[in-house]
Amino acid sequence: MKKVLIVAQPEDSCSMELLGVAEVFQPCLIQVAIFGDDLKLSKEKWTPWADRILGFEHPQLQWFDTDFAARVLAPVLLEEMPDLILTSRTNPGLELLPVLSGITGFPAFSDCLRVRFEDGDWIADKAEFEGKVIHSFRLPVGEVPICMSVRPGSFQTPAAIQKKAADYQLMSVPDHCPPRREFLELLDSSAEGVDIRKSKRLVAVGRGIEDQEQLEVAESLAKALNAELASTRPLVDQGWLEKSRQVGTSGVTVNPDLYLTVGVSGSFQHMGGIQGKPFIVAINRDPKAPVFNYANVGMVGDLFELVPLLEQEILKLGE
Amino acid sequence: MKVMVCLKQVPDAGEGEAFLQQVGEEVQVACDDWVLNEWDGFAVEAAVHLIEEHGGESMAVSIGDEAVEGVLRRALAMGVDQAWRLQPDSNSADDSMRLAHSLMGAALTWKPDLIICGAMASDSGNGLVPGILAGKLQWPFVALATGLKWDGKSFLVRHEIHQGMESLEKIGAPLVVSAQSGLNQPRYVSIRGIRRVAKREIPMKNMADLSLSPLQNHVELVDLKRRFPPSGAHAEILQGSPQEQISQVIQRMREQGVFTS
Ligand SMILES: Cc1cc2nc3c(=O)[nH]c(=O)nc-3n(C[C@H](O)[C@H](O)[C@H](O)COP(=O)(O)OP(=O)(O)OC[C@H]3O[C@@H](n4cnc5c(N)ncnc54)[C@H](O)[C@@H]3O)c2cc1C
Repeated sequence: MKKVLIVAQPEDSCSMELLGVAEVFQPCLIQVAIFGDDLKLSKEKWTPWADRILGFEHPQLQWFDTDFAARVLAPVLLEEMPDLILTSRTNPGLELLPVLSGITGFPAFSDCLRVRFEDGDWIADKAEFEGKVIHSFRLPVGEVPICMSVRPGSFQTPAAIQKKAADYQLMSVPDHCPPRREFLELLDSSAEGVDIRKSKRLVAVGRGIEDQEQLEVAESLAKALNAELASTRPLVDQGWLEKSRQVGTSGVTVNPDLYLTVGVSGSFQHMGGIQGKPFIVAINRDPKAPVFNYANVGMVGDLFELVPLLEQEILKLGE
Repeated sequence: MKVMVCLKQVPDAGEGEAFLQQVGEEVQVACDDWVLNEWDGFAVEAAVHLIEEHGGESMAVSIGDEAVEGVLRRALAMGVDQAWRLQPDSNSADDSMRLAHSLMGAALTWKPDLIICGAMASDSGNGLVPGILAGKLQWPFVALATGLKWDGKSFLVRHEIHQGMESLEKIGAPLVVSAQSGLNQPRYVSIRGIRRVAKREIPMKNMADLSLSPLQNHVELVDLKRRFPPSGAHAEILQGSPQEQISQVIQRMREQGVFTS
């Protein structure tokens, strides 16, 4: 029987989705590695879903030190040789997964979107060029353990996977693993500035705007629509707009009624910050831009032509 | 201090996607316009800045044929002290484990205190090489750095953990860090700057130069097809002149109750 080992990251609200990947490999043995300084809650959470839970309990794991976690987990992987080692492609996952691969020598597959069994082969898909293409790979399942990170939101927690009562095993954390990262401070980079989450209408501007002076084009559309200006990350990184306007996985999460994008390509890191079901209008000159896969209505064209026209029409409505 | 920075050249995806071509059932990447991976630009700037501030030496490395000299020269023009081109391992040039293996050879030969990579490559989007390299070297690894300082004894690294939250950590050398966008503003490189380093020699290092033995028993994932994503939930693309499109979009927004009138 196949063996799937889930590396559950403490603050990952999507970690249960990894069971959706395991489901593709059914029947399989599910092991879950959990980390923390007190494992009571996560142990309860995983008990109905796993065959075996491996608990790593240590004061250093009070915050998720991925370096420490990788070094205590890797020897266990080398002993257990699971067919598949899964974790979410969160920011800590971006540290943990490749380090596990480097220590163990097991190959890694990053940011998986889909897995299927086809003509006797396990095929996994990932996105490339920021979502413009999908690239498939054959996984050498059974030949070698494979470390895989999974994009949050790509799989669903199976509603009724066979319920098990997991065996719990408290793992010893070896003394020869002194922590190497010292945590000093937690910082909230989007705490200051306007709160665009309060606005029901957002005009999101992206790199298509080209330079800071031209931001005005988007700003005045926002004004005409009585909307707040939102932004993609690159504009914030350039210092053109404040961080609190950045929508996305490393910015704020918004839940508006209308989301109008201007020169935004539609990366999943940006679109991941939009919740609910807003009406999405996209203006982009590239007909293949991924943003059109999210939008309700799209206009393919030059924003410097379309946006002022749109603004004029809206002003005519006298809203 | 010695800082090594790892570079990748990627297709210039700036304009449209002419470089992605449908050939039969698959999409092929056809590109003759290569640029420095955007995230690597932040890595180079961080390396140059640290050396300017604290003294020492920086080096840029890239794996590939002569073509990668382009991105190495760019790094030289930005101020790194030297550059090595590493010969790729066999013909599977894109395998993360093999890339990390070569970089490990460079690290063990040159012995940097810090290795900086871009957080990921904009083509593959993998973000695997820096972490695999750290794992192989048994050095600590911090991803997505938005701040990087040296206090004389340790590195102070600010990096993204989740949803706008960052953590500040103190870590000793040697260390691998991956650079997130916004870590700094990479300095401008003029054509003259590039010309000034055009004649600089860039040594090529093969496995033997780096005292590397070939990677043993490594099983690769098998590269299958690329294709365009299914356009199932695609937006309604408005047709007609710009003015007609605008009328239609106003109409759609009205149907959604955006306007009262
Ligand atoms: C860990 C991590 C976290 C991240 N977090 C976030 C996040 O929270 N939020 C975020 O936004 N990004 C985030 N990113 C970055 C993200 O991956 C993308 O790089 C970013 O969203 C792209 O921004 P953009 O759409 O403005 O730029 P681009 O991708 O460069 O797109 C610009 C678009 O404008 C179009 N365009 C250009 N000129 C015109 C014109 N004249 N008229 C019409 N259209 C035009 C182009 O066709 C293109 O589609 C993150 C990345 C990482 C690695």
